[in-house]
Amino acid sequence: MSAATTHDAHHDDHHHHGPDPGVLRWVFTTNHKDIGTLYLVFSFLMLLLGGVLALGIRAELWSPGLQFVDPDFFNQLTTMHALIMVFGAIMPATVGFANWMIPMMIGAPDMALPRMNNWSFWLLPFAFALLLATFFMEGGAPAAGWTLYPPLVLQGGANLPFAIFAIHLMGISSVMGSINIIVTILNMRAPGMTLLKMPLFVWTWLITAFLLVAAMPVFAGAVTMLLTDKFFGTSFFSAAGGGDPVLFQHIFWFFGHPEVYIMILPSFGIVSQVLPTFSRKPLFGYESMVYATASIAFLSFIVWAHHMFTVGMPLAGELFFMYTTMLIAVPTGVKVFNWAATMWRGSLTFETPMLYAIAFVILFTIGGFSGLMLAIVPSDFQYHDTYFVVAHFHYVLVTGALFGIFAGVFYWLPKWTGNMYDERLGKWHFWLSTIFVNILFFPQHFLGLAGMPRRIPDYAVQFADWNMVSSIGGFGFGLTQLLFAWIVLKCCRGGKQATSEVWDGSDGLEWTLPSPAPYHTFETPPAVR
Amino acid sequence: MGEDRGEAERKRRSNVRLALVIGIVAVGFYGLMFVTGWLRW
Repeated sequence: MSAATTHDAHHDDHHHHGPDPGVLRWVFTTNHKDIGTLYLVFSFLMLLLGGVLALGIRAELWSPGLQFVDPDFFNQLTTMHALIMVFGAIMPATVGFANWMIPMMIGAPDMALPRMNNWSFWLLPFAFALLLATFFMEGGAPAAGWTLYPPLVLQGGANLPFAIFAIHLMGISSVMGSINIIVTILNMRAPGMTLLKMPLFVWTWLITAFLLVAAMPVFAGAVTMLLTDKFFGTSFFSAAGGGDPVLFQHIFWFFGHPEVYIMILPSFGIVSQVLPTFSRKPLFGYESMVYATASIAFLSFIVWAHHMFTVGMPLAGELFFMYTTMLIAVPTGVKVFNWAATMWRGSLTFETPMLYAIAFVILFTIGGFSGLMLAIVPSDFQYHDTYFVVAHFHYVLVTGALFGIFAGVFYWLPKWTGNMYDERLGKWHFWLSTIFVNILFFPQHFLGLAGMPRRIPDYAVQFADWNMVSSIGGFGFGLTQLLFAWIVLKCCRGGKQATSEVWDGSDGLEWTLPSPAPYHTFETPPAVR
Repeated sequence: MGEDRGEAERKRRSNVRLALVIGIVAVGFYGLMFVTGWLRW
């Protein structure tokens, strides 16, 4: 990877107006930085909202018996927590990073289709307004789990068409966002920026965008068939009408497994930017990282049925999906090895982004290993639908995807705002988050192995102690995120002036621009050597 | 200047063409799901 440049940033902003004044700037903006900010702010609000629902779950599970919510509302909490976190928090946050950073990293003036970019974002608030409105309807919000399995999901109240329309809007938003990202990367790179010179974050997003284009329409198709089954007399998923409810599970997970990688690959990319900077060494094995990411993306489409080993499928099917799932450990192992080798004998410093990146490597790997355990068919019969699964995917998505996002925010915040964030508070945020998140999720491995089922508001008394520990971790982790909001706000309002390079070991086109990055950048393409 | 504008227009058309191709593929995947559902039903 190389991003040396002869570009002079002063050429960019002398003949352009800045952003429009007032609120309408944010409504009509076609600027990639504005839209990136909108995505990031929206995703943080959704993170807080999804977090509040999670705290409702953890409050109810603090001790055995029913305390605060009735079982049906508990199911609404788990379902909505997942839908909000997946589609409202993690995915839009990574799209926010893509909008902010991809044009600056490849030397493009903006995204390829700026008006569509605006539309992609502004669909989201309406989608979530529809989804959240279901809380106030008769029968409440969807309560069949984020997987929306029929026939259960068809037995809910009036929420189903609202949830489905919301999912359609989110899907359209994601696909349009992906189209924009693919076209920007393939068509808008600065002269000399060949594909294998692109920063790894750009590579991971290019591959993620292809995953989204292939996976989201599949999900949209599945939920449209749910809609026609419910309201238009079809029986795609109804055994009574000649259909097959298990088909929905196959289609859902054909989308659902790539979706996991849609959430994690951009964080892989962020970590691959952060580790070399604070190791003061180039990324070890750049090309193998690109091929490993592409391999993971391909394999993610042929492992889906490992989510449904217990539905009863032919032995050959179980073996196929078990082995393909295990195969994913190979390219993932290549990445973890390369991250470790990047740090090996580097001149390491441990600023907040680096701390988050290192925690990501260690804790994501724990999630990866529990994933391998779940991949083994006979073991999965034991673990399926227990808290072990909950622990597994939260290690992947919280200490994986979310920690990668935190690393990225602290890494690029000085470039976005022009100010250094408060490093002392950043370290507090890191240590509090890391300690509490492990108190929250690690005991859930024990609970699952001991047989505690997921998605239940009440449980047998032998699970009481670890549930209380987990809930303490949950409230600690949740409150720590208020500190994150304060650090970001404080940095936006002022602080030590950031230099162009920001970090001692930074390398790439975005660091050749002044901090904060001007409203318009790279109108004259930089020359990349 | 005119050459620059011509180049920009060429690039814009190329962006839109690529976007349309990917969009059509996405809609194709959507349609394919109904074919799958129909075949199983």
